[in-house]
Amino acid sequence: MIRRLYVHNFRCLENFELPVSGLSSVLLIGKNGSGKTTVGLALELFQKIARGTNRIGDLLKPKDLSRGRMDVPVRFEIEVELEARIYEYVIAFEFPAGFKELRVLEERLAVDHKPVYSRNGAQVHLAKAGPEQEAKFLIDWHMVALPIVQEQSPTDPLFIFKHWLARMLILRPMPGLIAGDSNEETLEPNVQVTDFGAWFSGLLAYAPAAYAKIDEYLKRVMPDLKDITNPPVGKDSRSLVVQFSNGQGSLRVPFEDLSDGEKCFMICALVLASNLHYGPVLCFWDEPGNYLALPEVGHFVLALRKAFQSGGQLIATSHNPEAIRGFSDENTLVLHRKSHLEPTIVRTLKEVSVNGDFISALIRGDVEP
Amino acid sequence: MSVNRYKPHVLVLPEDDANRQLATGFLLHSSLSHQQVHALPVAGGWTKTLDCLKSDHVNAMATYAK
Repeated sequence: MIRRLYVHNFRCLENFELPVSGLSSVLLIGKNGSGKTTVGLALELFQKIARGTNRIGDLLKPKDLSRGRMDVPVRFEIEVELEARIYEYVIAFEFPAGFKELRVLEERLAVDHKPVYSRNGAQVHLAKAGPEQEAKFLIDWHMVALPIVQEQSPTDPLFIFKHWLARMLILRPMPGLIAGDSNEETLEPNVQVTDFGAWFSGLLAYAPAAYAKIDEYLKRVMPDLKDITNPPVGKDSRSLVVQFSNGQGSLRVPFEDLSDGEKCFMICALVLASNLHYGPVLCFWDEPGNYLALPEVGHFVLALRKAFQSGGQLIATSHNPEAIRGFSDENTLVLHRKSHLEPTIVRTLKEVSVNGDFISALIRGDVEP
Repeated sequence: MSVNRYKPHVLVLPEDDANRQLATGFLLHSSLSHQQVHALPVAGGWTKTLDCLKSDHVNAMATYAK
């Protein structure tokens, strides 16, 4: 669970801290351009690093600096509690005059406030762990060290933290692009979930029992669902097929022919099963109410919130009144910018005074911190 | 899934936002099936709650045996 997320000089986030500590589910609301998705982009940077992207040019561009401010470092800090241990990872970048690409200014990882490694410029310093000596080495200033530092075993805190970051589910699904085909397995779906088939295959290969959770959720939202099969369609590829049946007969539907909303139910089922079987995970879902019929939205959000009560953390954004009603004042954060020239500010809804019905105030544009 | 209107279900009509938040907390209880309960939008005061109940729900409830 995230205890602290701090971002500075990244797009609209300046000296920005997300107050999500102790909350199993959080909703971000705010007008278009207020910075909700940018919070997801900041998390995505950590995820990309943990998934192995270490060239800074592939993580961050000079245009990502707040209003092009080149003289101020870009800073990302995350503090996470996993299995009763506190992990703190900090990375800061700078963009010196004459450079074409940002470079690392500072990077460090600490577990329970004890350093695992720290870095200043090109110099990486591995802390002493056990009988072996401290180690120092140099690394290209345009490379991030985290993917390079070798973990010792699956119980190594470095391994645990990197896997947790890599397996964060940052979702902005594009159902129209999800075909259900796969030629590999993964537990790390991409942001648009276009690799749904690979995620489904990877999850069931990792934990076959996950199908029970997937089936349980999907049969609640689609009572005529019979099963999901993943037959081979070529030498190394598979394609998902969904079978529906009732007393009158049955129908096999290729995954790509499901409606956009039904594909979102499928994604939700995988999120719930993933949190249960390889979690606890952090799920950042940008607008989970998209593509869903109005009577479904509230139940969809409640199913997600309920699943994350017993572990993991859900951060959602939404403009949908039914989704917003599924949260309370304590776990709804209002993001706001006075103009495109000013940074995002964040307040919990209980700190914001609202006259009359909150949803009506949102529609009027009267909810401002 | 939205509530199945042909099976026993509960519609919650909150008088105000505080009651809406109470209902949301209640629906998150692990032993409750939130598929059989639906919290409706806030009515906005006791008089409006009664009006809404009479106009939108009383006739509909009469059509169900339970």
